[in-house]
Amino acid sequence: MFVPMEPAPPRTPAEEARITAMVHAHFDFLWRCLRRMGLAAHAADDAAQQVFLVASRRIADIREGAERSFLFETARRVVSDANRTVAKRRERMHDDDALDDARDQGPSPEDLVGHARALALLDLVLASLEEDLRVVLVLFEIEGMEMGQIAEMLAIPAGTVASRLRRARGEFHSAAKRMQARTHFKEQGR
Amino acid sequence: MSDDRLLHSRDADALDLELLDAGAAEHPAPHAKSRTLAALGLGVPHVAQADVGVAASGSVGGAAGHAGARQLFIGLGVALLIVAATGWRVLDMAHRHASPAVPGDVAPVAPSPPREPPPREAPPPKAQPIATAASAVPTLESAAPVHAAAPHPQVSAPADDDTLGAEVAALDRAREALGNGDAPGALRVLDAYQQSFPHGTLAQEAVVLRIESLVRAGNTSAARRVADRFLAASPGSPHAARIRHMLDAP
Repeated sequence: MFVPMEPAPPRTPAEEARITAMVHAHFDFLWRCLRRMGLAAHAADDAAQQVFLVASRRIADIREGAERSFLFETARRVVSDANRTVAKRRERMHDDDALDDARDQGPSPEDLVGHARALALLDLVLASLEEDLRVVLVLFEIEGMEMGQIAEMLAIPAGTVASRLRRARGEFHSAAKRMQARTHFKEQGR
Repeated sequence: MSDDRLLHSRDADALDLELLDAGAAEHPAPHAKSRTLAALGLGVPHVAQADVGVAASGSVGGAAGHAGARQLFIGLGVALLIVAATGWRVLDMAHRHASPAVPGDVAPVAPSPPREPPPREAPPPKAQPIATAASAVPTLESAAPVHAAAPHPQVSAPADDDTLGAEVAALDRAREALGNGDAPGALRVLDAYQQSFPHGTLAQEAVVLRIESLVRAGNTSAARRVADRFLAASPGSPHAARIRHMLDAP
């Protein structure tokens, strides 16, 4: 699913120190973003690793101070590639296989309790949002970034961030209520 | 639109808050960052100096410390050879008459170790070498002719805290042997690694390194078998192209 890697170019000690610092500073942020992009935890582990491998190879091209933006955009591409690969595979699968594959995505919210249930529901709700809205909501509400930072990271005007956030909150709220009702309905039917 | 976050707002909907809070409270497993650093050839800086049975003379990066040539060496070697460990586990399990575990859809750069209990992050190795039986059964029968007669080198089997560092050190040894043109020696190290770390975090690195070692040893048929099984198990691996290139190279 991921882009094959060619052998890494030689790195200087300073570059290695910078890469190490990047991992320590941004790994958790990147991993959570990958999770909120829809990856399972183990897949987020692997994807985060992939992103940092890309960063390691391109460390000389990453502007000082722009590390998080680079990592985030790389993560979006990695997930996008992964989704395309999965979609293609499913197109080739028989219906039964596709069902099995879907079941492998994890338990449904009604099968879970507590924090795990909330996370499953969160991912369902986020998946229902347009990507542009989801990204802004995640960065602002979950990652705690300022609107100006988000605007810079996404290379969009701050006003656009604000309007997307407004829409995202509304859609998030509606979707959460809808998903919760659906989950309760399923539980009642058991 | 208020710049206040929902998570800080008293007026926010309880369900919205619960979901957002769950997302904000989620963190990767402690070992995830360590694995990434290891895959980058970083984060286990003490390994280079650790006494893990490594013959240090001529080592590729012995003087580098936290960075430099040794880390680069590991970075190149490990990142180069990362993926196939899951496939190797499959192979090894099959050889040990157990059902192989098929990896998931997402091809990892390094294997996902058991989730419980999570290892601690970037532990310093203590290096407690154990005697490895010279007659230990090679983990790949097709590789046996290459190195069956030679004794297995020692590979440390340290406590959990030190496992990752010791694994990197072991693979560094194998890589070093390979860099010195000693493919049979690399295979012996890898066999010892497999014995000491049958479910190692860096098992993927080990199996891809094995493929390269087999190729360099001239045992391309064994290399191809290992590679084929690995690629069948992990077709989307980021190192699949590299493995194919190794096998296609004259």
